[in-house]
Amino acid sequence: VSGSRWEQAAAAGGAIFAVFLIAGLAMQSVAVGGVEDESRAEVVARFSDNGNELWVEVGGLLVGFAMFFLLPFLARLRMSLRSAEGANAVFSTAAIAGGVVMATLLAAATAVNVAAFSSYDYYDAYEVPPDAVLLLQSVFFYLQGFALVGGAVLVGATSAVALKARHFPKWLAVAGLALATVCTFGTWALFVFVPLPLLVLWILVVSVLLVVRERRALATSRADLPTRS
Amino acid sequence: VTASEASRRWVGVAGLVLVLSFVVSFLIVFPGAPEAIRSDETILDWYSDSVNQYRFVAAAMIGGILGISFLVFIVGFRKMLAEARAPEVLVELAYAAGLVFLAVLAVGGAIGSSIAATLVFSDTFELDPDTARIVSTIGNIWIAAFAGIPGAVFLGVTSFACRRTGLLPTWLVWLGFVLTPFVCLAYPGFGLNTLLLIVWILVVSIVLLRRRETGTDLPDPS
Repeated sequence: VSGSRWEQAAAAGGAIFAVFLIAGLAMQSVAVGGVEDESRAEVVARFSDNGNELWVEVGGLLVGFAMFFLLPFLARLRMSLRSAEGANAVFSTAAIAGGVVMATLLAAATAVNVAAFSSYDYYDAYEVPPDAVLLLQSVFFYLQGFALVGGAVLVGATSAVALKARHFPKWLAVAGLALATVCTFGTWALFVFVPLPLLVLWILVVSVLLVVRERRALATSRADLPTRS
Repeated sequence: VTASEASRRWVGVAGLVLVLSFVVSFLIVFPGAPEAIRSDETILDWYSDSVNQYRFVAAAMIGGILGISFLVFIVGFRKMLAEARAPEVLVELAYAAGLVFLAVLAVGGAIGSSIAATLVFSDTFELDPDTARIVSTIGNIWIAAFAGIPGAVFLGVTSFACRRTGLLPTWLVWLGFVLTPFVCLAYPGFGLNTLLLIVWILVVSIVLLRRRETGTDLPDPS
């Protein structure tokens, strides 16, 4: 761990991602509400509502911010895992691949949801097709489910390195492996709601641990400077 | 010289193939295609023409070439940055951002061509023009808008790493810095700004190939 300012900032990206993603998903869920139990007329009303459109568009923007900050975190995490793994860096590569899949599918899911709510406002000739928007809600849900599978690879691979090389605390590694197992079920795991917030919480904790480690490394290197001169 | 001649050649050629395949697929699909603001009849007429349906299928195939060339571009650029001793965090970040950009665009291509593909492959599918509007809004606007975010990270970080290593000329580094915020604003720009990244890739590819042809050495990062 070299502890440069840039690496600290990159590590902190995970915590910022967690905050933006939870806020963005919460705003989108306000607009989506209980659409699966509504009548066709209620579905049309929900997807024709300018207030709902605003919630989803601002929520989508926050998910975009989250994605922006997730990328430096992934890069920093890979560096950290690779240094722990040594020459045969299999798990660190798997971790970044899982993170890339997660970020991609979260973005795609959000794009689908934003389009379903915003089309009404954009096109004069458009009338909300209830079957199509319900279909898109399923696409939105399943994309998030597959994003969770990407997250499972990220968490599982990181936890494997943590156990093997004692890179992170043992409790975090064991919890990570359990979480990765649950997240592997993807859409099924989403039905019980908890795995996605736990995945975000895991990223937050790892981010904080990396930042603390960077700060200590930076402080140590500064303390060493006078003796070197 | 810190970056190998072969890497520069591959990155330059891949960048040109990428831009060319993007332009060709764009020209195949978009001229004459009805915007989502058009009437129901205009949209249905356009999609009912089998030539127009096959345009999307052809563009999707060219999209495969685009994807492969972009992969070669980002993997090659990663190698060049690593050889030029760019900070590892920047190398990894540019790589991850490039991969996410490509993957998001691939999802957009799949969704954007799904209506035409269904019409080609199914004899019973009946298109609802409003469904076509939503699908094109996802594929052409919002996916492109979200792709702009990792695209901007790729552009900004690569430019920053090149500034530290001297891998690209200074004016091109600054062009990257100027374009980065515009690409990042693809969300309010409805995805159009993402095209700026393609322009940057074109310029970078030409510069890398010209350096090879003229034998111009890259500056030593130290």
